[in-house]
Amino acid sequence: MIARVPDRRFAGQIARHAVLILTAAFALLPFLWMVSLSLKPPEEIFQANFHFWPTAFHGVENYRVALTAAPMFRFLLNGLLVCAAIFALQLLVCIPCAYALAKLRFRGRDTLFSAVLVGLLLPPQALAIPHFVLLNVFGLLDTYAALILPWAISTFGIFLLRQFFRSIPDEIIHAARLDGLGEFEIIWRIMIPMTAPALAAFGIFSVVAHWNDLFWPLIAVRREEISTPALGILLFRDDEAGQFLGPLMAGAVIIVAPLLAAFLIAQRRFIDGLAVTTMK
Amino acid sequence: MTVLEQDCPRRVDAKASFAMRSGEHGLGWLAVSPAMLLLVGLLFGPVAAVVLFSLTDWQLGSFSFHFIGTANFSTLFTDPTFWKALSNTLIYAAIVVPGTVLLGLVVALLIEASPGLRGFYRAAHFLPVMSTMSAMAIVWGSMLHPTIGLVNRALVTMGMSGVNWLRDERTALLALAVIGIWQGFGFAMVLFVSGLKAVPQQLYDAAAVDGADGILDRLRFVTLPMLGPVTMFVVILTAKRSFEVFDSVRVLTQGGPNYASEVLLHRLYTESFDFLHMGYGAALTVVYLAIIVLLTLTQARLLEQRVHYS
Amino acid sequence: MLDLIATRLGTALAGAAALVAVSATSTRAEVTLDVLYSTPGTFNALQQELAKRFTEANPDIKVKFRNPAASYEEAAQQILRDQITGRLPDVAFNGINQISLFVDRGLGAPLDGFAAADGGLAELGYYPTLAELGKYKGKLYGLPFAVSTPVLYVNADLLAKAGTDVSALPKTWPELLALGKTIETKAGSGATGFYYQWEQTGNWLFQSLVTSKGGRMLKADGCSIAFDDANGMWALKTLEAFGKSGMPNLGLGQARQSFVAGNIAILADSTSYVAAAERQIGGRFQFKTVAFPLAATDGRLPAGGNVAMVFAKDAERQKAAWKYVKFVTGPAGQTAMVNSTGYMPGNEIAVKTPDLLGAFYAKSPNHMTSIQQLPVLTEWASFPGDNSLKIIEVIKHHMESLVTAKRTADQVMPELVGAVSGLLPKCAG
Repeated sequence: MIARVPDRRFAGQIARHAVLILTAAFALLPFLWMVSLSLKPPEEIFQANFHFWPTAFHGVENYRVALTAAPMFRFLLNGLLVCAAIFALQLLVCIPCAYALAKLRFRGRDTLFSAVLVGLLLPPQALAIPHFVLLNVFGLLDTYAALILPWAISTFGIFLLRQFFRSIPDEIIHAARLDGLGEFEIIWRIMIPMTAPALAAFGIFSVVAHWNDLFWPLIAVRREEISTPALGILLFRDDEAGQFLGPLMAGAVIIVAPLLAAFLIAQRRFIDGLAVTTMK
Repeated sequence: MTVLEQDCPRRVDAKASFAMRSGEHGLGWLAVSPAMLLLVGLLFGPVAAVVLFSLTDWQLGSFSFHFIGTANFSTLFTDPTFWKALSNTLIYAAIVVPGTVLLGLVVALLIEASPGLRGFYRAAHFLPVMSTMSAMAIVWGSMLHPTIGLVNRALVTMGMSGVNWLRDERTALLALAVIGIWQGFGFAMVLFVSGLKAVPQQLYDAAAVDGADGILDRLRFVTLPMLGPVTMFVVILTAKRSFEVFDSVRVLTQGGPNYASEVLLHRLYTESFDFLHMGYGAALTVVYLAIIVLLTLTQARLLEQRVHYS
Repeated sequence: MLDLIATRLGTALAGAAALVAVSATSTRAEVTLDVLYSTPGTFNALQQELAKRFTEANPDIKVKFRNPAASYEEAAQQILRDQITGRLPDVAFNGINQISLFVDRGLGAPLDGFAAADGGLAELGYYPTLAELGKYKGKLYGLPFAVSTPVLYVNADLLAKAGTDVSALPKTWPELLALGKTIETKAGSGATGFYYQWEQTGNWLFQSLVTSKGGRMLKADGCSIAFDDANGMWALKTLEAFGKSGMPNLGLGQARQSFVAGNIAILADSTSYVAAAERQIGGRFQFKTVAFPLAATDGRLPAGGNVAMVFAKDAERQKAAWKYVKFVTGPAGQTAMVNSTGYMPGNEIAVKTPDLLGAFYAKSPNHMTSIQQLPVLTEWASFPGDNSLKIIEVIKHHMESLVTAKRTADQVMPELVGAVSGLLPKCAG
């Protein structure tokens, strides 16, 4: 009787691992393929047999070509700059608004909040044409401003932060007011620290979304110096020649690595951040 | 500064609270004004502009326009490419949403079932979500190459013949859908995991007392019902994202072969920014907007009725 | 933290403002040319090398490249968009077939004056035929930078498996198809006997079929369809035969990758890829190029490739741009170009000078095939009007239906003619 239970549990464990390894393999396969090809010389990429690890290590050459043929680091830097600027702007705009929606009473507050909710439904790509026209009118196309400004407002951010701000008890705010704190100080010294997880989660969403965005940079940008990662890798890929598969994969690795590395280092934060946002 | 001036005379009594409220009023408006300006300038204004464009013959660069009513829309609705893009997008969503949600749910359930290697599995499954789709699409493209790609090589070793995934009309959309599932199921998984964590143990205990003890029973009577809200959220989000598919299409098939993988957003991009048919593009945008908003609202309404809250 | 945000924001905005200011700089002592080219895979290294050498020789002119476009069509789309947003490049390397597209819209500076001031085109060494291709309505708008012709890429090893030799390669399409089938049976799994790059940009390899039979795409007036005749029908039927023979639907890049992997015996493609192919093949099998079969004695082939056009409107920038295009299409530039790609040079001086290219061609017979086809070159047609680019897409889709054996030539011809006519503007008479 007792002996059967461990067997069943053990079999269950094996089954669990078997399935999860399969699904994990599905998730990881493209990454492994990408790395594998990035280390191989052209002959091996095209040969009939397939080994994961190259017989002739060609990684240095491939990565060298990738780094010299296109300014990969520049793309990554642009990604960092643009995402940081976008998030900074978003915080600047969304925090006061979320606070006001959550804690202050003023006429039109509920209408405004409904507007924010409606805004949540709008896919940003649908606004591409008018954004393009607007930026053209101001002569801002093909500049960092074009990459950053359309994203200055985030209805998602307002919504998320408002939910979190609401969860902070009013008594704390009243007490702070009694102590003579101004509204900005209340936001700065109380609200923000208390909702740090939400801010982090918002930050992660924002950065990941804009780092990986292809649609808008494709429309707004023509110059290499300000191209972001998702656009940069396309500059490197060329269907006609198809001659640089090794370096192409190396380029893909370079583009994809930073976010993945950041994720792997701060896994807990990423995943908790996501959990935190869904709970609200 | 007005804020500090208004703070000073504050006292906790009725008169003061009225003063506070009107001060609050002004402060509220001040705090939301940048957001409000941007909401109008970057969100609702542009929406209005797109609707306007769609009803005129305005071309980018010209200064005059005339109202031409619904002419752009009739061009749109009589264009077979539009209908193909619409049906393809629906088919794509019909494959990706259940695939992502189910796979994410199964993986989440398995991960939470036991503590072994949880961290590794979570990280591994979530990696695709973080990756830059345009780069990974290039990688998938090489994996799906008809002769030297990994997928076909595997098929050939198993005795089947390779398929020209991205260039065969019958499989192009399917291949893109698989890539879509690949990218999204880790996200669904994480959401489900957090949902699972929130299910109180007492419910399982209570169910056990009532005789619902086995794995399937627990699933049926406790877990799945409790996951209702999360599932709803995941479904809506995944549906919205599948309607926004663009990167993989642009990078891998450009809508081909022969529009077999053409989707709404890609059509929008091509007509608006490649061919510069602004009127058509605007009309398509309006339709696209309408579809997404309607879809999300309908889903939210439908699912809310069927979800059990604790 | 707010001030941190503010400073960061400030720096970003300042950076943006600086960039806008810098790009607005035009006529100072130093000129920076804004240049656009396509197909970066083929041209990236070359263009950057040429730009470096040019600036070394002309220190007051710098060259800055925009994100290269994936294809000529994409480049054209971008330039048309740029015209509207007022941000045209100074120089662009456009498909030879696109000169009319731009000039009809008021884009492109005539280069006759500049050429004359430098002694004339013949003096500068341009092949007369190719220089002609850069003209439109009597004026010169583009200098030939990289010219290509359609050729057959042949894997001699696979041919040997079927018992043939390259010198005995058949000269008609049905025979080539049959040979391909034989090779497939003899060579076993994974091999494709014959592939035709129907997807080449601008319907180039469809036009090749039509012109190789002595036909034309457009009538002499340049605005009405001419391929609805027997020659055009023959071309469509040939594509239909490709499809019926079970030719797989690979695509530009995939087919080339397959060829260099040794999996295709005969590939009809542009000569532009020859150099890269040789590098990729690395001697693993015997690779030879053979002339594109002409189906009639008066058969011609459309010259592919790109020309350098000047879009700058400001006089100073035009002068700088002329110097640059003269350099890259001149003997030095063309030598570099041939050495790194498979294209033909537009400049005869380069070919005749032993130090430059004279010795090269002796060593690289695969590149010679293209040059030998010079006498039969004709124009690569493009359709007039607003829908010029859309017409290319429409023709491409119809070709695809033929090569995938979904439709027959009899079905496609009327549809194709109807669709294209609908997109053409009324003839100016």
